[in-house]
Amino acid sequence: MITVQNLTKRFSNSGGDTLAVDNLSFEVKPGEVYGLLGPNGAGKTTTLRMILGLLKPTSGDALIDGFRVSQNPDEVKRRIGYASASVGVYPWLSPKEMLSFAADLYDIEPSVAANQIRELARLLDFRTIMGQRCATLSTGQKQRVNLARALVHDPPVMLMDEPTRGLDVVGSKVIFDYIAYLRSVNKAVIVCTHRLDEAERLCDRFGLLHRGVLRETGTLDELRQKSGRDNLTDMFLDVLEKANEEVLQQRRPGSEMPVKLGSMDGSSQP
Amino acid sequence: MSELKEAPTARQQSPLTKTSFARLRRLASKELREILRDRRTIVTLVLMPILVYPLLGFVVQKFLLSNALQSARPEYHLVLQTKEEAETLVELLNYGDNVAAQLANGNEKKTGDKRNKKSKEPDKRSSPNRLPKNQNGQKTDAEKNGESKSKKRKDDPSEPEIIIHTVADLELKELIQSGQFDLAIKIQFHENRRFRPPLDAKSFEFFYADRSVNGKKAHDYVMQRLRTLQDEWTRRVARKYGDPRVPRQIRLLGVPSEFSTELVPVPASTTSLLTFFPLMLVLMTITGAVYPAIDLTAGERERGTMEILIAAPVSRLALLTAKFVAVLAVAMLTAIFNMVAMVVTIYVTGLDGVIFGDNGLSAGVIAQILLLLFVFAGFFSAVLLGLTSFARSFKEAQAYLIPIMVVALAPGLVCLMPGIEMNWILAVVPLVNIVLLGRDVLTGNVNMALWAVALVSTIFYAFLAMSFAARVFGTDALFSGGSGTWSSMLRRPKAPVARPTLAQGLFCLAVLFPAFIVISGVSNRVGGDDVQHLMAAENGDDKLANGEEVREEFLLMESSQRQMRLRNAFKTKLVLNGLVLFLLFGLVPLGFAFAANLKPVSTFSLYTPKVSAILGAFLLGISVWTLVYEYNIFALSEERIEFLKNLLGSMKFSMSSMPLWLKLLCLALAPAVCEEFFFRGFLMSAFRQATQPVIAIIATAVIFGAFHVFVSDSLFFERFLPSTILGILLGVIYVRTGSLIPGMIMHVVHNGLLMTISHYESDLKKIEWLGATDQSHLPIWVIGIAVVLIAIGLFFVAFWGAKNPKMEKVPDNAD
Repeated sequence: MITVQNLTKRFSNSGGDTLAVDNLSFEVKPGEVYGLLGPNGAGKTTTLRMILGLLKPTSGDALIDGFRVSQNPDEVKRRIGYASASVGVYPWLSPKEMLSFAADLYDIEPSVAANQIRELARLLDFRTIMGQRCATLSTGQKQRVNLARALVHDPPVMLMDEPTRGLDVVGSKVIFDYIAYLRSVNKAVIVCTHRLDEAERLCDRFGLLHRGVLRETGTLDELRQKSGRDNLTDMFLDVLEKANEEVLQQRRPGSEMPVKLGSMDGSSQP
Repeated sequence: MSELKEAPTARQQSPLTKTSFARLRRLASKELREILRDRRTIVTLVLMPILVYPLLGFVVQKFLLSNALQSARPEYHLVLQTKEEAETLVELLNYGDNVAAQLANGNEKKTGDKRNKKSKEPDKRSSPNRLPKNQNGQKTDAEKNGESKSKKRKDDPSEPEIIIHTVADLELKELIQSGQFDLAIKIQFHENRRFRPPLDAKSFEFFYADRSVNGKKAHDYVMQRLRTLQDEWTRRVARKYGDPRVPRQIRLLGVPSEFSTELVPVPASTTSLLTFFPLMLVLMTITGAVYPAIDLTAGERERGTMEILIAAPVSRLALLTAKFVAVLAVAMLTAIFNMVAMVVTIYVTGLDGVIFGDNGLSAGVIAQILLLLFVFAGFFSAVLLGLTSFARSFKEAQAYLIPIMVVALAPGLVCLMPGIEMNWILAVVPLVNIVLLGRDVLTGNVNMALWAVALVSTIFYAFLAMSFAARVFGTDALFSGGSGTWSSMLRRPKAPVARPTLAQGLFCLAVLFPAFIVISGVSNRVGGDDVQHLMAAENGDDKLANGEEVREEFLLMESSQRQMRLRNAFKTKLVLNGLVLFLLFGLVPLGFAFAANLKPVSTFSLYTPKVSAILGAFLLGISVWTLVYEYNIFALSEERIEFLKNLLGSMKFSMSSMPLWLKLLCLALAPAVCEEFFFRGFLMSAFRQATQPVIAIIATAVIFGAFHVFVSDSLFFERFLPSTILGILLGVIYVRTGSLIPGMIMHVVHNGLLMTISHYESDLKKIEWLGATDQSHLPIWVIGIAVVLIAIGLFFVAFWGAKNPKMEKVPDNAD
C-alpha cells in the first residue's frame, strides 16, 4: 500500500545544507502498522510530509496505492489520512461543521459524508458534543474530533505524526484503540513517534531513523534477534552510539564532513 | 504494490481539481460562518461604525460651529465693473444705513420729537468706511488684507464687513463662478444723468451663486438698505407733495426703482469633505477586510489547521477563492454598515448640505458607490490574502499589514488635494482611481470610459494578487523557514559574492527611496529659500505664496543684483541636486556592495561593451525622446498642461539663464549615470539573481517609473508611463548587452537632448519649418526618422551588441 523509494531531502539555509532525510526506502502493507521511530530532528516529520506531497523530495519518490506522489499528488492525498497532535480545530465551528468541511475538502457527497460523520462520532464517542463550538471542548474531545477528521474520507492509508504528544493516559488509550481499529479495518498505517515504549505496544514493524538515515528495520522479533537486545529503547541507544562513532571517525584529519557547507549568502537552492 | 497506477482519465476523475461551484460555495460558507461568529469581526463590523461616526459627526459639527463663531463677523465680497458704480453703491449703502439708524432712533423716541426731522438728511461724511477698491480681479487676498480699514463699525461684531471690488475686464457671472466673490452687482444709470450722483441709478442687477449662503446674505444685506432708501424717498416725496399717491414722473426722481436678481448656477464644488466620504468608506472597507484576511490565512497556521487544508486534494486557488469570497463578504458588510452609519450621522447632524450639496444622495449614487466599493473590496481582499499568506502568525501578519495600510493611505490622501482630476493614468492607479471615482460619482460628473478603465484595472490587479496569494499560501517555505533569513542579509560574507540577492536589492531600495526624498527636500530648502524670496521680489511681490514676508534685503536690491543672486542661487541648487544624486545613487549601492562583499564588476556589470552596443544605445538615445515628447502631448489634458506650465513656468524662466553645460552636468549626466548605477546596476542585478530576465526588467522598470513620480517636487503621475517604458528599454539594453555602460550612454544622451532642446526652445521656435511650438506635435518627418533610428538602435543592441561569452557566465556563488 505504501512504498517509499530512495527518498532524500536536503534543506539549504543560511548555515549551509542540511540532509534531513537520506535515501530512505521501506514498504507498508494493508493492515500493517509501521513505526517510524527516532529522536527529535531525526527526519520523521519530513518523511511524512514528502509522502503526503507537501514537501518536494530532493530525490526519490513515494507510491500510495500505486500512485506516485510526484505525478498524481491529488490522487495520493485522497488516499491518505493525516493525524497529528499539532493539528488544531476551528474554534468557532462545531465538530459536525468541521467534519463536514473536511468532507468537502475531499469532495465527499454531503449525504455520504453525513453518514460517515455519524458513524465516526459513534466510534470515537463524541456524539453528545456534535453541536458545541470546538473552542469549548476539552483537549481529549478535540483530539477525538481530529482523529475522526482524518478518517472522514475513509482513506486506505493513515499517517500519524506524534499522535500521543501532550496526551495523558486516557488520551493515549484513545490513540491505542484507534490504531487497533485501523489495523482491524485493514488500513496501512505509519506512526511517527519518539516514545519507544508506546511504539513497542502499537506497531507491527519498525524503522529506526537517526539523522535522516534508516539504521534498522524489521519486526520486534527480527530486531531482537539482530541486536541481541530485549527492547526498542536499548536497541536505539546502540544505534546512537554506533552513529556517534561513525561521526568521530569521519571527523579525523583528512576526512570530509558528513554535511557539506554550502554558500554563505544563503540564497542558493540545490 | 509494485505495479504503478496511471492517473484516472478525465472521465473517471472525481472533480478534485475542477472544483465544482457547489463545493466552492460550501467551502466559502464555512469560512464565512467561522469569521462571522468571531467576536472580533463583529466589533469592526458593527460596533466601530455605530460608535465612530456619531462621534466623528459630533466633532465635525462642533468644529464647523466653532468656525462659525470665530468668523461671527461675516465678510461679504461685492464686485462691480466700474469705479463709478462702486462709488454709487457705497454712497447708497451709507445713506441706507443712516436712514435705517435714524428710523430706529425715531422709533425709540416715539416719533414725537420733531427735531429729528432736520437730521434726516443723509450725511455722507459720517460714513467714510466703505471704500471701493480698484483692482484687476486677481489679487483679492492681498487686497483684502490691505482693506481691513474699511471694516464697518468695528465695535459691532454682528455687522458684516462689506468689501467692494471692481473688476473691469470680466463678465460678472464669470466672477461669481470663479468663487472669489459673493455678490456681483450691475448698476445702470439714467441716460441723461439728470440727477446728482448717487441718485441717478436706474436699475440694479444682482448675481450670486445658486448654492452660496454668503451670496444670499450679501444680496439681502444690500437689498435691505436699498429698499429702506427707496421707502424713505417715497415717503419724503409724498410728504413734500402732500399726497401719498405720488405721480409717476416724480416717483422716478432718481430713486433706484428696478431690481433684478439672477442666481448663477455654479457646479457643486469638489470640496475635500466630498472626497472624504469615499475615502472614509474605502478605509473602513480595508479595516473590515484586515481581520478576516489574517484570520483565514495566518490564523490557519497559528491554530494548526493549515495542515488539514494542505493535506487535502484541493487546489490552493480553490481554497483561497473560498477565503476570498468570505473576506470580500465581510468587507462589503463592513462597507454597507459604515455607509449606513455615515449617511445617518450626516443627516442627523445636518451636515448633508455641506457634504452632498442640494441634490443629496440618490439611490443610484449609492448603488454606484457600492459597486465601486465592491470592486475595491475585491482588490484589497486579494492583496491582503496575498500578504497574510506569507505570515506564520497573527503577529507577523499584522507586522506586514500595518506599513501596507499606511502606504495605502498615501494615494487616498493625494485625492484630497484640490486640483487632482481623474485622467487616464490615475484611472489605473489602484486606490486613487476608486477614491477619485467615488468623488466623481458623488459630484455627478463621471466619465464612463474612465469608470470602465478603473473597474477593469482594479479587477485585473485583484486577479494578480490572488494568483500571487495562491502561490505563497501554505508553501513549504513556511514550514522550513524559507531559503534566506534576515540575519544572513546583515552578515558580511567572507568570500566575495558575484551578485546581490533580491533581499539585498530591495533593502537598498528601501533605504534609498525615503533617504532621497528627505535629503533632496533638505537640499531644496537650502538653495530654494533664497530662490523663492528672490523671485517674489523680482516680481514685485512683498509676500510669498504661503504668506511669508519677502526678505527686506531682497526687496531693496537692484534688479540686476537680484538677477545675479538668483543665478547664483540656482547654480547652487543645481550643483546640490547633482551632488545628492551622486551621494545617494552612487555611494549607497556601493556601500551595500561593500557591506555584502559583492564583487563590484560583476554586481554592476561594469564590462566593456561591444562597439555596436554603444552605437545602438546612442541611436536609441537620440531618437526615443521624440516618443516621450509625443506621449506628453497625447496624454496630458490641456488644463493639466496649463497647470504644469504655471508650476514650472517660473522655474523655467530662471533655468533658461543657466549655462547649458551646468544643466547638462547636473540634470542630464548626473541623474542618468547615477540612476543607471542603482536601478540597472544594483537593483536589476538583484532581481536577475532571483527571477527570469523578463520579470527583472519589468519589476525594475516599474520601480524606476514610480521613482520618477515620487521624487519630483509635486506628484506628476503622467511621468509614470514614459519613465516605466524608458526603464523597460534600459533594462532590455542591460540584459542584451550584459553591460551597464550602453544603458548609461543611452540615458545620458536622452536626458541631454531633452535638456538641450528645452534650453534652445525659444531659438528653435523661430525656425518655422521645424514646426516645433510649445504644444504642437513634432513634424511627421522627425518622428519618422526617430522610429527608423529606434529600430536600427534596437537591432544593434539586440543582435550585434549582444553580450560576449566572457560575461555570459556570471558565477552564482563565490569562487
